[in-house]
Amino acid sequence: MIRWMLTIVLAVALIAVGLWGYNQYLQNMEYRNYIENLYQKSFFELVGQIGDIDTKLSKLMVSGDQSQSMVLLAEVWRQADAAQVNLGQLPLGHLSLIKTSKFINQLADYCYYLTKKVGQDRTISLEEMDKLQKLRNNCAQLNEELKVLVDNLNSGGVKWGEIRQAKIKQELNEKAENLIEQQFIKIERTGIDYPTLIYDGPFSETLQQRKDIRIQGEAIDQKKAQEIAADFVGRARVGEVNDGPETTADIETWGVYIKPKDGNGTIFVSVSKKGGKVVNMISDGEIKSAKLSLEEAQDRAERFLAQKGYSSMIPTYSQKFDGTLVINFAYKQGDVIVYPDLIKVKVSLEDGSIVGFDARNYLIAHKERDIDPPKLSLEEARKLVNPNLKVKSEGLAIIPTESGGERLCYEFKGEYGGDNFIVYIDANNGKEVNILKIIDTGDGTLVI
Amino acid sequence: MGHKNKLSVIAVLLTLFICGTMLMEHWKSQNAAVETILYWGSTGSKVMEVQRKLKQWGYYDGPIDGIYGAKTFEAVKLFQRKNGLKVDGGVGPQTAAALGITLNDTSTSYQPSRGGGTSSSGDLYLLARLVHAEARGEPYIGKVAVAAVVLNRVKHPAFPNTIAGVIYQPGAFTAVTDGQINLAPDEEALRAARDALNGWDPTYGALYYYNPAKTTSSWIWSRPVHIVIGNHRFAK
Repeated sequence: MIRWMLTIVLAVALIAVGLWGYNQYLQNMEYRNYIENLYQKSFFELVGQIGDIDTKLSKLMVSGDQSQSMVLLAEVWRQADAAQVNLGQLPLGHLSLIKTSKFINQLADYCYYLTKKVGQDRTISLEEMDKLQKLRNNCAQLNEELKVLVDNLNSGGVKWGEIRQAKIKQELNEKAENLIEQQFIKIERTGIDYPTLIYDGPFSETLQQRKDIRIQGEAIDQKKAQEIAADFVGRARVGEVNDGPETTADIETWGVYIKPKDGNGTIFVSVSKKGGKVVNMISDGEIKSAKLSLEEAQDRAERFLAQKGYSSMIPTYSQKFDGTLVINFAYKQGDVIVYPDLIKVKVSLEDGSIVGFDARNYLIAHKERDIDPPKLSLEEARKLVNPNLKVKSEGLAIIPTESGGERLCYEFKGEYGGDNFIVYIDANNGKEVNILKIIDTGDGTLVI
Repeated sequence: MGHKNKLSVIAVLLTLFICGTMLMEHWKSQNAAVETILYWGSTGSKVMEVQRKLKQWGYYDGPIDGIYGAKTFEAVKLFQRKNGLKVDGGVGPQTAAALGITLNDTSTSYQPSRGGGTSSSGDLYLLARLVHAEARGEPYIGKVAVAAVVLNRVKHPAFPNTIAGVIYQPGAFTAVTDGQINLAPDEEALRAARDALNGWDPTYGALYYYNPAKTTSSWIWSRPVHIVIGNHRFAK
């Protein structure tokens, strides 16, 4: 009797577990398919987009009309942007995609740059046309390789989901065992000879390999760096000084950890090995309450900078969070605000102490500039500003360009419909270079 | 009884009438404030609209250039005469109505932004989650450094161009693969993410980081190391 009962109970349990397992399996399959479909979608969209870019770039080669060229360039830019997004979604190792991704990004960026150029009534130069031709050839090659991949996918039955799982197991391992990845690596390695693109855009090669660091001076040792760091933080605040990590990047620095006397967190200071300048400083001390007003905090920051030997720095914009105020200071040469020479100072609103400092931009960019008198007068520039903008203040400023250059502009701060904007007009050719929108968060301003 | 009813009906009607007049007045005064009249010398898209209509109906044979000149003026006068309007050569509300156009743009007034860039706070939180999941137990600057690597990738052509794109690139971060990214970030992770977004970069442009004790990839070892913080090597 008992045995019977037991058998029945076990049988029921087995069936229940079986059903549950089957259900799990179905669910699993559903997810698997879903993810597989997402990957397929990204991949086929990518293939379509590369094909389309190929066509559009070819058409550009024979287009004789500026406005037509502009439409084609804008199309390529848009498609390449979307292709980049799709590429970023494929479950392939970063290593097998570096070049392809870079190519697509730069292509998008380059076409954007040319669109802007044509939009300003300037023609595409022969040299640029040549670059485009090269990019077109690369694109055709990429297109070919992708077609092979499509065939493999269609016939070989390789699934993206399986690649993803294999990927998780190998992590950053170089060995790639699946077809698709091999194909991508082949694309990477069979040297599609991508041209080096130098132009006015954020992905220009000039920016990727910038090495014009201006910090000069005598080399210092780690002991000296500790002293400089302690002086910088203020001897009265310093409890304990220790070595921190050093850097060997474009600016070489010694790292110094400082324990403040009040025991609140740790301050990290990095000091340049050449010249012994403090490049940046971060404190992780907790800030419990905000007692200082924003004006008081700004005043503290200004005094701090002056005391550290940074003269003629003016606050440009600031933002408040978590009981601190971060203030961006720019250098002012004569009556020109030089935005590339930027120093950030973070002030604690609890006791007014300096809890953050970053002079990297300043140290890289700062010099006394030869500023030629602008070709346009302030009055002439003002006429070029959209009359919708109620201008409240104006002046000269040097602003950084996307590719790391500099441009002398008239700066007009104004208001439109309750929002605040800054408009930059090139002081030599009158072009509207940039528009910034100031977003007042109630805690200081944020510029976008 | 009937008397009382009548009285209340009158009261209701009276209230309605008063409210109605007030509304009308309000509406009128509002409209009057923004009423535009096109006249000799006016320019813009509204003038073009007028010219287009007049041309369509044969009153005007000049160019549709958006400039209210002599020809447009004469054409408007002709139109007004034919349609029994006051002949003054300008396009006021009545003439505009007869032409079938509206002078006021009701849809184009600019709405100022409220509360500002909420998108940036979304990025902040996402970045903080990654920092929390990837660098728990690391020193503070190690956390800022992890966030800085994400931002350096966004700026680099070989990587996706948004914070979300970089973080969710398949296989890019282990904490994303194993789901730890969904943990709520602590206060320190948020602060570190914020410092990085504000431009603090202890790695000086690093694009990768790895734990030398856990990594087998020979490629990553070949990259130039910028800085070592806690368990992580930051490399380019």
